[in-house]
Amino acid sequence: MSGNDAWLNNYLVLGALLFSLGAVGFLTRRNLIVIFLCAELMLQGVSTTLVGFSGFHGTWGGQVTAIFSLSLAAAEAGVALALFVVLFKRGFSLDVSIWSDLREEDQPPVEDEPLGDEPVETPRQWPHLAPAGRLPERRPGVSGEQVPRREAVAAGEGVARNG
Amino acid sequence: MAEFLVRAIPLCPLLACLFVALAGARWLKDKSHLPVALGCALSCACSVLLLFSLPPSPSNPSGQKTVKLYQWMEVVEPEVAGIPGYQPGGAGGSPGLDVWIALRADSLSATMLAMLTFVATLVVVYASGYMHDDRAYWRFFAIVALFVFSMIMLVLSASFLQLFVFWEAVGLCSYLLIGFWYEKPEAAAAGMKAFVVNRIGDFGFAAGVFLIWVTFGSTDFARVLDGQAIADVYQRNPYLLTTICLCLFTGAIGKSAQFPLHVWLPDAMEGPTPVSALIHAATMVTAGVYLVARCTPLYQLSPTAQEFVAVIGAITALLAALIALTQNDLKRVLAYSTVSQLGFMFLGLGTGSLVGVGGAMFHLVTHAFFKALLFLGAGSVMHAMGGVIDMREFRGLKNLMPQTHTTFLVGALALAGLPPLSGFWSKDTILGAVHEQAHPHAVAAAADGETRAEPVVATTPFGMSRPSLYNLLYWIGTFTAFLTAFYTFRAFFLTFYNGPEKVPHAAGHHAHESPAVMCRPLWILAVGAALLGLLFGHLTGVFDGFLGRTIPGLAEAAHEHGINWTVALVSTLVALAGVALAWFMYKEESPVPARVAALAGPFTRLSENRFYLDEVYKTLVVRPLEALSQVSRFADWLLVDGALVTGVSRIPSLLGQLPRPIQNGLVQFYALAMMLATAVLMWALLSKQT
Amino acid sequence: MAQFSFRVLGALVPLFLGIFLMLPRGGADRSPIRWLGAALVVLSLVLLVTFPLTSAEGAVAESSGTALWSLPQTLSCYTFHALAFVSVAAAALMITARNPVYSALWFSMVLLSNSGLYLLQGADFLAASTIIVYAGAIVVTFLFVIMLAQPNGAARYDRFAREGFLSALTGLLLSGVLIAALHLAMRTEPRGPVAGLASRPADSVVTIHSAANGNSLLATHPHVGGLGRMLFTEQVVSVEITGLLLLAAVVGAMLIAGHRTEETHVRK
Repeated sequence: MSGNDAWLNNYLVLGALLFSLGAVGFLTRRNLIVIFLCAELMLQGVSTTLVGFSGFHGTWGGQVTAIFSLSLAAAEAGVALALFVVLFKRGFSLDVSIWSDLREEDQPPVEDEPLGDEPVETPRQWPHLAPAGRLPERRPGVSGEQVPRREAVAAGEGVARNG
Repeated sequence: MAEFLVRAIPLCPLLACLFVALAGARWLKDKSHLPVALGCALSCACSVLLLFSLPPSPSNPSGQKTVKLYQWMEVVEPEVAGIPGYQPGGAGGSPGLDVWIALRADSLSATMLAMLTFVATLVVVYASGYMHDDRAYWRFFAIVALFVFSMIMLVLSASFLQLFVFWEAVGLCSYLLIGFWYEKPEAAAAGMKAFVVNRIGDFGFAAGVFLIWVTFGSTDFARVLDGQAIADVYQRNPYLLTTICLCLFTGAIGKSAQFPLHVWLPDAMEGPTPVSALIHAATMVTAGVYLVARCTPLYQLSPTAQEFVAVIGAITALLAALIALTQNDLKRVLAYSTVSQLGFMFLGLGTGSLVGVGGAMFHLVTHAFFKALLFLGAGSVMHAMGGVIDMREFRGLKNLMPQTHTTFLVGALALAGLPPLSGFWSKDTILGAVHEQAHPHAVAAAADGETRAEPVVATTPFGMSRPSLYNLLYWIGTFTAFLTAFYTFRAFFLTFYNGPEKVPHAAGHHAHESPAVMCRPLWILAVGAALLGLLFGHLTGVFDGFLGRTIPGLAEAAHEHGINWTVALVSTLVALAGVALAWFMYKEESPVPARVAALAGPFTRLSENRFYLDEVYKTLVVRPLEALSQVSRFADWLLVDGALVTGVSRIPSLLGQLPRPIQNGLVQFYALAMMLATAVLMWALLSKQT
Repeated sequence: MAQFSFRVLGALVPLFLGIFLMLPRGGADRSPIRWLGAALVVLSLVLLVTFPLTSAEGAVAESSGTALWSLPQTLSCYTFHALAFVSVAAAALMITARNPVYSALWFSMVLLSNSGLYLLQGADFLAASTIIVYAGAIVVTFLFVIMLAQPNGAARYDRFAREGFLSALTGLLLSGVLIAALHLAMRTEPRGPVAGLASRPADSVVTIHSAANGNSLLATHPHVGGLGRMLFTEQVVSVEITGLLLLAAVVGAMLIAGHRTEETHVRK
């Protein structure tokens, strides 16, 4: 195996690995944003492959294609994030599992596994300044209304356990 | 020229129908009657011209003109051998089925066409006033145009099969128009009743057409109604002709509302009155008469069929006249009168003599005029009375509606058969023909002892000799003539006289004479009803002469027969007696009718309840059928639906349950399946490469 | 081939087993299972670099190539190893992180190391634009959205992976098949760059490498200039279309996200 071959081989193997890892993440994760990041990871694998070929052949073609895929990824990200925002506005969650309307009519929606006994990671307690001056007046009903339901439940559970 | 006319006559209403159907709802709206009236009028003009453009010639003695439009179907070499007694191809015809859509015009169809299009034009004009505020104005005229087209095609048919098609088409139009106000449950039910009852007759008709095809190898009039072909069949099997005739007559019974199947026609009065006038009095119901008249050559050779037709006709005439005596609904009186008059026509056809056929056809034409006139007059009354048609609700309308009164009187006189109005001439011809059958020796003597071509059958299926049977029928006919005069004038007096003017509340501001657009057709029809008989009847012989081109020998027979003055005198006296009796009982408000009704007791009830025929049908036919349908519905539910359809369909559904949980709606899960499958496939591919 | 497949699988199985173990399944963030998975991932990466995969077949075994990632022992070789290790490891951490913020950050780590790898191949413009566009813009936008939607950090659904085993198996098969196909191609296809191709970009690192191979042509426009020339001459239509695509994406994004819904019903 000549050196040039070896270089190409290495890039291709790396690309394949990144692509497969991205696929695994794409298939298992439930957060819309993480899923999308995994898709970007798969694109990165492809880009790596393209760059490897570019170097191997000594031409610009691979790089040009990689640049196009980069702009494509950017466009995709813009549209996808817009969609996420809309979906989040509707469901108050980034969980992809709540969008399962395509299932067979009489199939129950896929349920979450029950929480184990392990302690749940809680939101970090950031240090804050000691209270001073007057508390700002709170209008009733403003705060807490927009808290997503699942988040609120999880946070509440966490607090309860910690407390 | 004739060819152009024959093409133009059906084309005009068809174009009008399509135009109104497409443009009516959106653009024409309350002008929808214009294209239809125009189409009918053009068609009428062409029909009148056609009367004069079918000259007989030595090579074409009937003057008929056939225009072939296109070949409908062609079946080569049918396998009908194996039916015992029948030979494929029949009398010299080539085997197979070769049906053309063709227009066949001869003097018979030209007569029908002229009558049909003329009445249709007047009715359309009348209807434009009568229906003026209807919601579905355009729909009405579209269907009427479709009807006119179908009826024209029926009359112009050149084969039994084509005739059957348009026979059904006019039935469809009738159904649509009876149920025109389909929101009314009675109207919808009446439409359905007409349709279902007609099916029974049409079944017989279809069987007759099949039989004709099997026997003659063709359904073309030109081949079937050919003297030589019929003679051949008669030689082979005379009963075959009788069967064919009876089958065809079954169709006529249904369409023309004869005795066992007459129940649909009175109910059909739920439709708009112009429809009653056009379809259920003047034209469609006479299709049966036209059919039998068209098949005269067949019936001539079958005395049994003649007697059957005559008996059915007489029974219908008498029965319907008896029922009409006690009806309170003006339109129903006229409906039963139509049934009765159609019975008269069949009585004439059933004599089997050419004079009788000519009389029946002439009665058909005159009846179309005076019955359409009477119906339109009744519609005018109904229009003025705000939709009320019960004669107990109004009376004394003579001064309120003078034009309607006068024209109605002309129609009533014609219907009663008083000379010199048209009804007299046609009815007299029929009665004369029946009388001739009752006294064959006299005629034979008059014909210088010439022996009759057909064998005189000694006994009839009805258990008496032919002359005595026809003698009975003659007296039934005469009695019916008396009843006709009586009930017609009963209705007339009840409506226009019978005490001081009385108008129902529903009339409102409508209680006035109808507009000119409705009255003018009445006057035109009245002139026709009054003069037709005088101009074309026996006195001049024009009608028989014209019809004689198609039915050879008619003109000579009619001339020979002349006018039987005895019969004419008797029927006139009888009719006068009927009118006089009605005058006596109903001219002024009096307790006489009630007393008479009480005296007649059971007969009155029998008549009022239409001889309980509807109830009998309900018990004997409708109820058992309903029960049967319930049983079959249950069987269908249990066996077909339950065991077969649902059972079989459950198998794939059960199998489908197995992979169903895979469809959990998670897109990621689908992606997983896809990627896994792709990987496995690629693996397999790679393994194969090495 | 069969042997090769088993060898590749031998190296890849620990990787995806480790990934499977590292996937979130409701436990604590730093559970022993996760550590075990991380150890397996590291092990498999080491195996990939060092395990002699092709020696048994002999046909492919040449002077320097017995391991899958076999390179001449040069500076660029070590650099490659280091960057590739970081890239794969960061990718593994990215897809297994509980907190989406960490995922995004690990992703930018992947991007950074990939950029280094691009530089190694002389793709300097691509390296820079990857950092600027991806790490600088896209990932930051992601972070914005995450902060907007999930200010409380890991949500319940982030702590559970779905179909972890099947996914890891899929990944294993996928990567195995890809690498096997690669191997097959390397064994049968003609070697080296096709004669008469345009010049490869020259770079300090690459120059060494290219010089060592002795088959690189010095281009008339060796640097970004060459890429730019290519983009705006040969590929100008593609560039325009890409611009159009970006415009459409911008308009679409505004249309989608700008649509105000007052719908507040929560789906189950």
